[in-house]
Amino acid sequence: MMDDLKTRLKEMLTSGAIGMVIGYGQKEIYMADGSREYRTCPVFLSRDTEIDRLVWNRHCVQNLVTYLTKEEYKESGKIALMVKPCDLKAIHVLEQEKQIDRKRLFIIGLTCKGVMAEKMGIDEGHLAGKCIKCLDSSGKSSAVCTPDEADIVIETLPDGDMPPKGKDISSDLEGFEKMPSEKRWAFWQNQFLKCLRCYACRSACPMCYCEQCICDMSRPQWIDKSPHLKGNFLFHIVRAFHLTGRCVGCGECERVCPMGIPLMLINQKMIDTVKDLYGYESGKDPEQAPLLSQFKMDDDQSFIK
Amino acid sequence: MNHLYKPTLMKIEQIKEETSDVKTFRLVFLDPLLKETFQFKAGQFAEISVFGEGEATFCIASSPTWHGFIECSVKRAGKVTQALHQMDVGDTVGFRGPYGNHFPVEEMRKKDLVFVAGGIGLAPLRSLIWNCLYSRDQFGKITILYGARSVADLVYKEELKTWETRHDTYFIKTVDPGGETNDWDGKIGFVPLVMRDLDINPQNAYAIVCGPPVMIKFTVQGLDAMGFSPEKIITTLEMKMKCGLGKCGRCNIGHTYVCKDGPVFSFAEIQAMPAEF
Amino acid sequence: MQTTIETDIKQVETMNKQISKKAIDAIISELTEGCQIFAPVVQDGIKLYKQIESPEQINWGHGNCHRSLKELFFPITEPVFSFRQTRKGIQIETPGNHNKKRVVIGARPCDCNALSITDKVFKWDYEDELYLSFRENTLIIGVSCIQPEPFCFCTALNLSPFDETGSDILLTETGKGIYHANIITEKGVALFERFKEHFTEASPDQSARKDAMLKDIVSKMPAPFPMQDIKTWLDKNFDHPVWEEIALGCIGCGTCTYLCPTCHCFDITDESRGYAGERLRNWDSCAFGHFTQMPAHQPRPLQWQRFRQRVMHKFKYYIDRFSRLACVGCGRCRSLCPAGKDTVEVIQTLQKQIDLAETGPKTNKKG
Repeated sequence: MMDDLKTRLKEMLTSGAIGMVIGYGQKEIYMADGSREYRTCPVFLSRDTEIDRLVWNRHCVQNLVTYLTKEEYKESGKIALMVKPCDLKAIHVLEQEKQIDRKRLFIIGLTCKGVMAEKMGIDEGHLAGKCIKCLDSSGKSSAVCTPDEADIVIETLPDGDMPPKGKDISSDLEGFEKMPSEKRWAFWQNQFLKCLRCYACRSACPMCYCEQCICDMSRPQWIDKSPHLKGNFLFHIVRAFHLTGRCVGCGECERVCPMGIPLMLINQKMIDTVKDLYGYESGKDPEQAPLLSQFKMDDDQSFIK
Repeated sequence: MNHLYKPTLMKIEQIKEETSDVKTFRLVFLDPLLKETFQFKAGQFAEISVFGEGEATFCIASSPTWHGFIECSVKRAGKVTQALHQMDVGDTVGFRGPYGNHFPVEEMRKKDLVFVAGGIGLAPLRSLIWNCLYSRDQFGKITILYGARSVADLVYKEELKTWETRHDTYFIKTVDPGGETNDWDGKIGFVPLVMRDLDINPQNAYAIVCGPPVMIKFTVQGLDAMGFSPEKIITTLEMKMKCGLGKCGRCNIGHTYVCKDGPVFSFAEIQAMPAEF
Repeated sequence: MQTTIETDIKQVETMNKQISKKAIDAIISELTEGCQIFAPVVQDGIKLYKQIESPEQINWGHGNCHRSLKELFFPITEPVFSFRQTRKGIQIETPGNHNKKRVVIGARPCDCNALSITDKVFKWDYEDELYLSFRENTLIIGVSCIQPEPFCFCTALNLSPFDETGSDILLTETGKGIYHANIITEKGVALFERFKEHFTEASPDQSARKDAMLKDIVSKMPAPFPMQDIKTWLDKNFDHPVWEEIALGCIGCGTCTYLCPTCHCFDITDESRGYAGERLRNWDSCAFGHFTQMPAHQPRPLQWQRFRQRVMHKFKYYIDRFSRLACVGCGRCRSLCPAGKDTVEVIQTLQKQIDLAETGPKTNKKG
């Protein structure tokens, strides 16, 4: 299946039907003990001779959709993009918000059975938190990229045995919510004290595409730019609010945080809240109106106090 | 602890509205000793701050030969400049400086000088022009070409009249086509084009250029065509700065710190830099 | 290129001593009276330099802190002064915490060495008292790396996991609970004199063992890269098309620059409420677009240009300016880049360009 894909992509690159493939590849890296390891990372291929670098394995964690809205990739012609079923949701939101032109995109839909959790650059040895609920009893992802949505569907599954499951985000959140409020407050103070404001969470997020982020604005300056506790709280609260009804739970923000701040706790809470209140799931359908631009007479208004 | 980032205080003594978005502030040190002893050279800049809003970089637009005050012309563009525009006479601002290098006034002595400025770009040249006029007999022919988008965008209007009427300066003013008014008595045309028709002799002369990047680009091309060597074309570069001290790392062009090695550069020096400004 | 550097730090002829872990703990306990002690501490899976109260808090494990040592001298955010509008005018107050005596224990040689790089910036021409007063009042006890982290590459830059530069005393664990101690600077000697009874002479045996350990570790680590050749290539190739390719994938966050022990760019910003406020110095990063954004002009509008700036600054501009390269091979940027960008890979790509330029394009078929 991967071979068919590679042949097709080579043809498309040669004919000019696509200008670039953004996918997963492996690169050899130099380790301190003299060994070489292979690391899966995003690759950007614009020559047919490079296509054989593409891989599909359990380390294909990064959500590549984030590159679609970055300035540097807008000039690359039509882009072929490797997309996991969960990443597809991010494409849907970008379509809803008119940020991408679906015609400029060739979606390579992957069939998934879970990817590995990665935190602070280290493989945690178990499945990513977002995968647990997604996988059915056979260990296959319940979410699939259908031929309707993807231009080509790869049914090859990532190789290897089923890794340990690890903890599901929702159960983490449940545990967290059981803590008394003072403890939760202390928890977040502790977490946000570490925040460097490197904005890796923002840069990695497929939904954070604003040309000028509110956090960088100076007239008026809404948010303290300094990475002290107050500024950091403000930043993360504003980030959460701006992602409400938009976050698809890909977990990239938490994965890339160099300080290991568990940002998915916040995101999952927001995801659950909009689902409970409005039955809305972001990224489910590119045709649906964005949550915050719909209004129904019977909308729950209990949040107005 | 005293440190580099601690500003000294200055009081706004006078505010002059130059254009709809440019004001010139006359500043006086609160410290009487500093008021008497403060010195700088034409081309140097300062970090002026509005407490609570932040610091911004401005060239000192007054002449080093004037004593007791300095002047800075501020175009409203960002947070700090907007705050400055809202200040009144008597208000206090912070000052750090003077920083950077300066125009090579010593080397310019006995030479003809051609000043070419566009819009607010006249500010640093104003400092130098008055500096040279102070000891007028030490310089050769002085030509000043100043242009702006429109008549309303010309700064230092009274001083322009002075330069125009002085017999020891050759002054030409121009506005971009469409920017003229009915009673406009200057030229109409872009600065580099107007410059072509001037009687300029590149022998034994310096050209000092400041203005928007596109004006500088075409003016330098024109000067080059006239026969000015790149060493004799002088300009000041504008880059985003924060510290002014060669620490914060944002004004670098290659290994050049514009705040320390500049802001005044010859075109020859600029040609040697990576094209990233 | 990397070897000698002139600093004001008063080096003495290195003394070789020996000390036990127990004795170190005793010294630390005593030092907590009267000075602040900073050491690697692990909390929630993250290792950071933190102020400690007792030696038990120190994490002696291998590997570096997630954030580098620079934050103790150049804090992530620091008020440079506070101000208050009063009837008498504006009152300015500068911070008062810079004159406390401090001791850092457990810093890795790369982090200590990086200080000799940032020293140059904060010292050239204008002296930055905020940074330098912290430096002056801090004694650094470094600890050699006897087990480098997977992403370390100091040896590739001709540095050593036992490098003494930047440490006042360098400890090397030569046996269980036994440390070889190099007393390197006057500050180090002063501490040694005060706690003389805890040290013994290092036996020739132990010194030999230390040398053997170093040889063994270095033999496994990456061999030196031809950094001089790379510099020469960079001198000529600011406009080379490879830059766009090298930067592909960079998402434009500040992770590499913020974790880097030598990156030193900062922002100055005001925060106020009513009639009072602070001016703060915060870390900033050349990876961000707004770093160089002016109201009407942006010299580096695209991410690959910003990426090039970082590489150029480390491996060319800094050398042009301060005669040494601005990288110590700590590996933080490699291990924590969200997009898997890798500084070593960048160097290798540049090396390929050099080979390509020498041998001609025919020998390098892509694919």
